[in-house]
Amino acid sequence: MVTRRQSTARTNEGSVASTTNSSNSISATGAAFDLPKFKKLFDQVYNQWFQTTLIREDLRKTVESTDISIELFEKLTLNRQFQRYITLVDGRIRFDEPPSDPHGEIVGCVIEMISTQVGGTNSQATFSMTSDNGSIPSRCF
Amino acid sequence: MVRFLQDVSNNVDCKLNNRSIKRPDASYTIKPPHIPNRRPGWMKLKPNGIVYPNIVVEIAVNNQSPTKLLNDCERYFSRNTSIRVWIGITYWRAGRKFWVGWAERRRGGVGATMHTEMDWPPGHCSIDEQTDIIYSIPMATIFGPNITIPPNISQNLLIDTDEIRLEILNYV
Repeated sequence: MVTRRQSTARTNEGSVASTTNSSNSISATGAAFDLPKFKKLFDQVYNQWFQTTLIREDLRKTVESTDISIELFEKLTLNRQFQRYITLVDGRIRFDEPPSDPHGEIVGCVIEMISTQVGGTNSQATFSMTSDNGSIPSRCF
Repeated sequence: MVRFLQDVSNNVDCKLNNRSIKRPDASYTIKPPHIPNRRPGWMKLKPNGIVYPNIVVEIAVNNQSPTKLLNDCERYFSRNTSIRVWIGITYWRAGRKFWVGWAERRRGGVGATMHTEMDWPPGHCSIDEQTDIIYSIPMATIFGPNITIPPNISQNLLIDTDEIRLEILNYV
């Protein structure tokens, strides 16, 4: 699986992911859930994160401890510039580290590396190197 | 010739289970014309009717926890997806170190079997030293059972870690 001038291959089994604690969560489906208020809070956190890469810890905790559905997650996050860096894990929103250089360059490098190998002999097929933003299509041309 | 795999970076959502969504940095999905009329049982559909990607790529730069990267890798290989291969790269700017690995679905069908020649952070490789590591991922692993690999595609996907290292060096 790997070529190296002087070493033997090593295989590690990954560990099972841990899950978040749901004991003190607020359920998005619960009677007390206030969607407009939560959306406003999410927007506030997103904008703070987008602009400064930092989020006030109390706001982060509130957003990330709220149990939401996939539908609501998509409603909140789709078409945001940094949507790729927001994940839903077991019903909880997770803000990952926003991209910083050379994130996009590495993505472009890997895309080119893979694309040239899985694309067959079509020399006209190339990839857009911009793949750092979920809202911008990146296609073969 | 139509490309066999398409980049679906604009179609980023990977529903991992009923309560989890992850958006990879890049992903490769088999185009419909190359899927047999009778779709192989292992190949699963996303809610939008498109099959799950065969390859997902995840890049982490700077402080993102390596544990998080590994846990996310595990999640990609949930029983609800048909992702075949995960390629992960992490780069730590302050330490000028990087790590590259890949994973495939476990034989049991759920979870990841990781392949790496590099120590896991913080002991990962310096970007200033040549690694001489080229991962070779079998195309049969990538395409999956009952999918014909076009004859013009090589048998293995090569991931040259030095090429990635040099790319990083260009920008730091």
